[in-house]
Amino acid sequence: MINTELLIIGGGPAGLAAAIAAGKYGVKAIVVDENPLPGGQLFKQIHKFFGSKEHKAGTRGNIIGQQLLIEVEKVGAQVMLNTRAFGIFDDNIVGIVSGGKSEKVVAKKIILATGASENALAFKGSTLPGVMTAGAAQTFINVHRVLPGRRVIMIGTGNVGLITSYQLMQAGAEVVAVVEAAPNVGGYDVHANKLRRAGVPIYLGHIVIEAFGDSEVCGAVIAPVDEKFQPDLTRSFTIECDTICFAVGLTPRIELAQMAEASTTFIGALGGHLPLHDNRLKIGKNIFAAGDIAGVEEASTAMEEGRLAGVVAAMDLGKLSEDDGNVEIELINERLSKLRSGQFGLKRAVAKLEIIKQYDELLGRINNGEE
Amino acid sequence: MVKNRYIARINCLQPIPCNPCETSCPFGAIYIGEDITNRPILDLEKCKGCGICVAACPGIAITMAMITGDAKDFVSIPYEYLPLPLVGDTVVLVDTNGVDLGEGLVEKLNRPNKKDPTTLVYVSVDNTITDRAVGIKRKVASIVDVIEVVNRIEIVDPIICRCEEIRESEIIEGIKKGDRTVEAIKRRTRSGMGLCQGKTCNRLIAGIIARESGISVGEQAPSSKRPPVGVISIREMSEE
Repeated sequence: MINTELLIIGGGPAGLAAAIAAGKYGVKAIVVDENPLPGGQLFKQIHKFFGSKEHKAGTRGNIIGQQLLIEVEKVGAQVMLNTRAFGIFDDNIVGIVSGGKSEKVVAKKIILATGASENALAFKGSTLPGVMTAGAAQTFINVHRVLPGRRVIMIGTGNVGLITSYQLMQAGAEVVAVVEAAPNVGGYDVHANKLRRAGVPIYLGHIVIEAFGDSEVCGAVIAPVDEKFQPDLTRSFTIECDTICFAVGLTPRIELAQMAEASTTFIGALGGHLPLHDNRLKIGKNIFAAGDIAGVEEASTAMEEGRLAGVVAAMDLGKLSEDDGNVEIELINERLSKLRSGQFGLKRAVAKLEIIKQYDELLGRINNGEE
Repeated sequence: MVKNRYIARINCLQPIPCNPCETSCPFGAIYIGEDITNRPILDLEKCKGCGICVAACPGIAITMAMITGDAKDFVSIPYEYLPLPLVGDTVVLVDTNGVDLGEGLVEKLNRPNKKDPTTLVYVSVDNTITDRAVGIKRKVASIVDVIEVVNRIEIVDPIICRCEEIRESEIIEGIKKGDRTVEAIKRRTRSGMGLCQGKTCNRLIAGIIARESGISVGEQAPSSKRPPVGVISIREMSEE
């Protein structure tokens, strides 16, 4: 059995930032991550981040990842890799499996920073070899430095699809088509412009209806859609490729939150079913959710949420006074609201408020004995 | 018009939360302000054409141009592909849609931030294209052959749950019999009970239920979760 003040599940941007924030006030945290490397998606995000200076804007994700790991070591947090948290049980007990055996971790506070998983699509031939998620392609090229293919069709024009397309070209592949069901590009224009300048055709209002090949994907049948997203098969055409990538959103990884009996709600703008949390990211008395599990946004926001959960955990553990903690929280909230502004961010800001509102309403009903 | 020196040209049109151009400029020539979704405003007088903002912009949305008044102008363009063009090379300039504008001669390369690989390529261009030249056509290493399809396989009924190999038709069958949740489909077909514990298929199944029954994904209850999350062996579980 391991006893700890703070257990953080997930060693991505949110989890590491939480360990650092809490560690600064003397909280010795344990971070567990099922992957062989820490950093979550940061080390494959070789593009420069947006935001302002305090969000490390203009710095590439992999560099931010390195900086976080140095800080984690400085505050003395323990990072356990290849370690899976397989369940949450009563009294803050988390079951982990590490090095071939299971172990109980008893933690005073738990921060869930489990992230999100990529959505897939299903169409004829969508299980052929060569069809993969954009994140998988990004891991191939930026972590393992292996090209998954040479002629890529990207499905989805959110920032993940646009950025991954650019990076596939940087790695030496050709992006032969970017296909988007909606009538507009979903992500930032500046990212789409990188592709346009490289001559990549972006098919708006189109979907892939079929992937075909013999032993691997050799091409896709693409068709325009009407406003109800129904394809017009009479106008379909074929593009040859050896790779098809899905960049069609992410779903929060909420299993552990569900096991901790958090109430959930569905918010499409934040990726799907989410645990309700209060304005300090608490989903229960001693348990927090930070980063994509609390709503899919991006790494800069995830880091700020991790800091928020880490600071509140330090306050709860008596390592930081209410007054000092509140000052810190205010600064984090200011930075968060900057990241959630503008035509792209505002939707997320409103959605996050909705989660807090639903949490407060639920709490009110519980206090009134209604639930 | 400013002549004979490089001036930044900012092609940043959306209110995205970002201000490295402002904070990186050593001359205070770019203003965004407190609200970082404001579009950058350039002070032409203060801009010294150093190129630091060009390399700092995460959107690759800044280039530079030098108007000479002669037939040849100069542009400076951020480039993030390998191989880099070399001084003396002829490159093809493109507009914002990737349309070829014509050739230019590489005069100089510079990396304003030595720790970062983004490289500025300085090119002399015909003055008729100065305003539109915002990109350099990427050199493609080799032409990629199309794979010849020998026996084209059409998979008509795709597998939705890959771990348990449950096909779309089996899920639709379940919906016809009254299943309206991912949980119900799981109990009927074993979908989501394999190695990945539904990480790939649960969302797809919810989508199929929505399509076939009209009950949106948000209205469907999320499937219940019990330990273990992910697959662990019984040996691992039993050894403490």
